[in-house]
Amino acid sequence: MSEIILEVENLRKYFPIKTGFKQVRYLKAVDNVSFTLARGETLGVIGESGSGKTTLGKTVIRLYKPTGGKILFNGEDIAPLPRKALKKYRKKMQIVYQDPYSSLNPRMRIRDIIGRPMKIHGLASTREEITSRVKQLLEEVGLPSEVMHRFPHELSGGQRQRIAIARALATEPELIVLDEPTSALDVSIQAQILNLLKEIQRKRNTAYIFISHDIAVVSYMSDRIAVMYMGVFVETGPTREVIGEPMHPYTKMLISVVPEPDPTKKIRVTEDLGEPQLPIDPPPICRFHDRCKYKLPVCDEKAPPKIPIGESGRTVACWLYGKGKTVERN
Amino acid sequence: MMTLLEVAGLSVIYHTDEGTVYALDKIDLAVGKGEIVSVVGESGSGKSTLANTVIKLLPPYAKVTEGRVLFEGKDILSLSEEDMRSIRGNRISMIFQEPNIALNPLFKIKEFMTDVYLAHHPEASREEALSRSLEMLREARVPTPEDVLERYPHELSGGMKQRVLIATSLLNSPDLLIADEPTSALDVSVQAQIISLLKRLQREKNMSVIFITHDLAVAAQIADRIVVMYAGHVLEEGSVDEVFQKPLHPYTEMLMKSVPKIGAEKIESPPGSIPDLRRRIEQCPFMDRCPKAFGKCREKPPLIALGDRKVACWLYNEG
Repeated sequence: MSEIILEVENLRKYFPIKTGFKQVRYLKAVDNVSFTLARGETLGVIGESGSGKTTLGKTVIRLYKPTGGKILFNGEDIAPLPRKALKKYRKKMQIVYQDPYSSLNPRMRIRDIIGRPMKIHGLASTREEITSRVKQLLEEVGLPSEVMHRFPHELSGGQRQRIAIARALATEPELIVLDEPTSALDVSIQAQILNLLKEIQRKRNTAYIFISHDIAVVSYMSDRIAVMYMGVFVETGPTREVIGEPMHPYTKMLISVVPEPDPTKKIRVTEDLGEPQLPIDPPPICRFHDRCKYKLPVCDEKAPPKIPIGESGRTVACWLYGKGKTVERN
Repeated sequence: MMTLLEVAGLSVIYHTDEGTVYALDKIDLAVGKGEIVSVVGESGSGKSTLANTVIKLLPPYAKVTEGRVLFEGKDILSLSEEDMRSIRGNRISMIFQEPNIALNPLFKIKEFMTDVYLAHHPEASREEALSRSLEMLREARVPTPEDVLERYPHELSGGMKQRVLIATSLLNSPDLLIADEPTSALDVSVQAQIISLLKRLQREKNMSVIFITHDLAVAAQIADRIVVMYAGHVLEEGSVDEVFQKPLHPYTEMLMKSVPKIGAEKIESPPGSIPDLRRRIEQCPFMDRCPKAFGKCREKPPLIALGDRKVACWLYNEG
């Protein structure tokens, strides 16, 4: 693919948790995560609740200060920058949240919600200029321009999410983090928003980090996929390979339990699949060790390295692939 | 199959600050003994209103304007709250989407469960109630059930809480279980386990289940029969195999084409959204979004039977 705009290296975000007198433990929400993203590309991040996917998205665009690691945005490391120095990067990196009911200021009219980022970043100055750009953006997201005089509560969930997208586009970003952007919407509305996002990407060549718990949605949207579990990437690679031939036992398990809208393909769960824990001071071993049915002795001793597979940039963090070993793929 | 529950011509409205909302419009539904019926619909379809009417948990600003809900032939809607209390949680029980709202944070699981049992078995002792609770937790495959009984809700994971609620809903061996989006707040691996659990318990107990969901894939997994609702109307009904193999109503078809499937190249995104429910719908409720709409659709199509299936669409109605 084309030019790399984002390179994330060993990114860490730890949240301190006070557990007692002078005792501090850490919730290692993002732990040594690395990836790259090219212009116009979509990286999908799948994971269950508590996997750290939202923290990752927010840290990458510096809504959180990382605990460690590098975030090279167009070659410049923005990880250590103080707040003030970040302003010039903010307009290049935007985010769309899950809940369009809480992400839009209820007291502002749509025109001001979309126009404000332009003003803050000096992209439009006069009222007329802002209004005409807001009109263009509304058209781009498929809403009539009259909407600009309305308040968020007058709009439906799908319409609000279109506003959130228009607001993100207002600063002409190169990267947009989409954090479960359709999870609160009905399926027919979800389909509209997903196809709109694809259309926008095709026209603007914007890079997306698409975060969702919904594997079908992520695979529909993404060029590449990263599977996140308890703060780490357990597997990454081109969508077709990861979904078609999952390698990490966690990815396999996850894909095997996704229900299909087809009554002839029923899932049968006979064993206890367990549930993920929060990565609070996790021991330096495989984080999936307690739920893994292919576990080796080494899995309880050392954290698996990231093992490159083939030529497509695929990686898997699992001891099963450590010494050229393979397991049955099912 | 014997009919356990029959809903006939049910209409429900809500009186809100923004006017009257027509939530259900002449709904018909039958649930057989030992059958799992999945009611599928998007928001505003009326699926939760239907569930809440059957168990008589509608809010005070709601009103049933017409229709009947017959449980074993007896009209539930005419029962007093006192009489209903002996049915609710006993013959008909319910599980909800959000386990955190259903559980009281101030009570240990054992207190919560034994209260539910004792409410319908006043003659039983606390020990009996406790041993019944333990038995149900075991059936719901809760690991270390003795330990779970001693816990407060916040000490349990989301999946475990939902298992506890399923166990609780089965304490009194209900004939009908209403499950309103019971897996929508859960991760997929937990969802798969809960669905398998519900199916197993349903089979073992020959219980009837109304499973309400917005998720077609989940409905395909669990249901024997599926009822598709839209804007307060039933648009289609049939066995799960038939409906998924060949949806009849254009809305059902659209719904299926807009679900992203793993490996799917393209999903269709139909324009528009549900009609405003503050007006009573006099035409086909899907007409404005329907690619196949024609003149006749300005008149509301009745739900007609086609063999074992039912559909409310003029495309299938010669009349």
